[in-house]
Amino acid sequence: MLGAARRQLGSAPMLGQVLRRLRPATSARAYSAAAKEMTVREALNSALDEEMSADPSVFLMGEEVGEYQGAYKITKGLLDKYGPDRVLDTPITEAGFTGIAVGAAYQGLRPVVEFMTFNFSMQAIDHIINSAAKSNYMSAGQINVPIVFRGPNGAAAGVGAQHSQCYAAWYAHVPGLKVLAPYSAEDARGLLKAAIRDPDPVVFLENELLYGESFPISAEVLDSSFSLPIGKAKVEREGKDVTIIAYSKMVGYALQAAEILSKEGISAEVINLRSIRPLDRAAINASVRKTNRLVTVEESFPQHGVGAEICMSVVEESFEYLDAPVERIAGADVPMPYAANLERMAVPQVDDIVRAAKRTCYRSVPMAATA
Amino acid sequence: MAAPWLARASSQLARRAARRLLSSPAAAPSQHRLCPPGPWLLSSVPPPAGDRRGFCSVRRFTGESSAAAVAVADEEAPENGLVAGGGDQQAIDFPGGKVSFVAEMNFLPESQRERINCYRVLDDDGRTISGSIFQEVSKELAIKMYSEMVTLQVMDTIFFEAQRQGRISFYLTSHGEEAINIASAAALTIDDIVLPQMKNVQGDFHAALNFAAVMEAPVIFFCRNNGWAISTPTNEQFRSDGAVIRGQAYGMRSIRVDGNDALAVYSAVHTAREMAIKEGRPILVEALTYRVSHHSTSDDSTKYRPVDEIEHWRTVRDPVSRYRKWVQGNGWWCDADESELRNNVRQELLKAIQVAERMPKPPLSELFTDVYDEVPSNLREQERLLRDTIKKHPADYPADVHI
Repeated sequence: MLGAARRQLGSAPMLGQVLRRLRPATSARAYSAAAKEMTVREALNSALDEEMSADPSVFLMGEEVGEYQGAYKITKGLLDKYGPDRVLDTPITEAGFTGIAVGAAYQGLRPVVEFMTFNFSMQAIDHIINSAAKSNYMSAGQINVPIVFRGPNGAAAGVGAQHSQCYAAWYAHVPGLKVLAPYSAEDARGLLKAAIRDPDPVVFLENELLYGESFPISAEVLDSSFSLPIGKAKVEREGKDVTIIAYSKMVGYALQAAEILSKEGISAEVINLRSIRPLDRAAINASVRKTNRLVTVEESFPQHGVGAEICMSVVEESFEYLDAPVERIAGADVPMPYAANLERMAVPQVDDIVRAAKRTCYRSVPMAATA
Repeated sequence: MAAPWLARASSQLARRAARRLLSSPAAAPSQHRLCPPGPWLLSSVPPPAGDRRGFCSVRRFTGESSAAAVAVADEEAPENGLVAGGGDQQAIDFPGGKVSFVAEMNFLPESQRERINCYRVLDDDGRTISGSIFQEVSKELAIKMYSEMVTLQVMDTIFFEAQRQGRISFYLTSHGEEAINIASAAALTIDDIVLPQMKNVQGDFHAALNFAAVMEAPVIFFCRNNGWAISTPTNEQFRSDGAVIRGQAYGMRSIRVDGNDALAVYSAVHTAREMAIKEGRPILVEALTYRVSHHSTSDDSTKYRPVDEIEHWRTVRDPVSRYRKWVQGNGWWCDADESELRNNVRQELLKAIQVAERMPKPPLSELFTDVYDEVPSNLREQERLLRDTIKKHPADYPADVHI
């Protein structure tokens, strides 16, 4: 956490103020200060490695996961270590290999299916929802499906409309699925391990642009038994004036926005959802009851999105605590443009979050984004 | 459960690895291989260069394909990669195997002149066709198969009626297709895993056949072609020669069988099973039949097909009576047996319905359990709220949902 603050600040003078406000990343346990750093890619790779080592029924399937070491190198070295029985390169048929993986899960294996991006999961969505998510319910608990679907989700950079969609709201809509969205390396390790150990089907939404980002990581997180609870959000930064809720890459943006806001005397509390379904409504509402203002941030299309669900949860449980309407920051309601300048305009930027937070604090700022 | 699957997968992969060794340049080139193993498991994929964004699958091929390495012995491979194939024909080893060139531009016809032949053993009068080859069945098995076919027939009639009486909500009958249901199952053992589907050929059917052929999985793909998908006849569904022709397209052995001939279905599945196990390969079986029944209890098929067509198949082509004639012809069955069986089956089914109808419906808690392994907090909360509401307004709560 301290490392993250240092990274974002760049300049020393604010450090003292920031350190006073920040909460240590780990609990009160006496672990030594975070000396090690780990990229999200390394975190995912090590999590897969350790879970495969601990449980012989865990295996990987996907395009390019084996010989190619993974399209984004997440599965690097695993074919060499575990062999072709545990790391399976598949033909280009998501419907085909997802069906096979779900069938394997029916029989008691624990597949981890990689979609090269979640856009391709649409080819297999019938299996994810009808064959996996609903089976436990339809079989009265007799057929559980301990499967993980993972891969990069949402916008990358310059990959165009058909490769940039965020599927968090799509999958979080379905009872029977669990949907996770890590941000940091700690999230990636802890949540992926939890997902693999979970008896239910889990959709694990990574982010391509976060793979190379480095985060400080404690000894506790490095332990092979480490995992994070599913359904619990994390307060990344404590604050008292406005709650900013985000997931995945937008957590980083929210933290940057919080930094900027603090210079203007607005203390923002940043919540990293970590889990889209189940949604940590308790944490969301506890925060809003404290700050009385809410900004939700997501990169995906606005309509029927995660922000809408968060807003509704607050309206249902903490309506009288709101001092201002909820602000929803989301991507533009258009297929992702390919032109780089337009793509930039189609996704939230840090400034958008800052302006929204100010609006909730009655600092009137024009709604339109800057050019 | 996990171990046998992995063991089988291991042995298949070991076999593939061994074949890869055989077709490598180092091995003896005497075996001419047309199909190098698993296209995506190239033995010499170069390590990825730098930080390519690889979200589109790109295959990298080495300069020398494995097929080139096993050129016909005695032939010197000329430098331009062409291999003499006799006469003025030439061939080249594209990835996937050697292909010969022709100078004429020949399009493969969209269909063969004749359709793929259909395997049958019993004629329309239930007599074995002379010279037919089939798997012998014992008297015990023959009678068991017949009894099950009759049971299915009676069950369909009773349950169709039950739906019309409002006792069940929906039902699909198998009239005219009983031989397929029973004879195919009779050829399997209790340890074979059966994954039945009511699914018209789409999407992952093709993926499954392709995968199974490449992975050499011991699977029988049994396709029941009964001429209809609700109201869509097969000639509006596809233009190929049924399903059997697709086997070859996926590199899979296949057979077409008369689905109304219980002995033929039994024999074909029995043999397919042996092939699948002994040779480690998938087999496609297409059973031709006719859907005598409506698609379901929600369908009235007289709206889209002639009644006399249905009647013809229901009577003249009935698989149950056809098989019965064969069983009776062997001296294994008589009319008295028939009435006794039908009576007993009917009684048993009616009793089963009564027992089922008397069973209590699921309690309220079943609404919320098994969505996940453990009931999540939001559902626990909803159940609590619901139970509170029921306590406050008991008169408004439906009587058939037990608390």
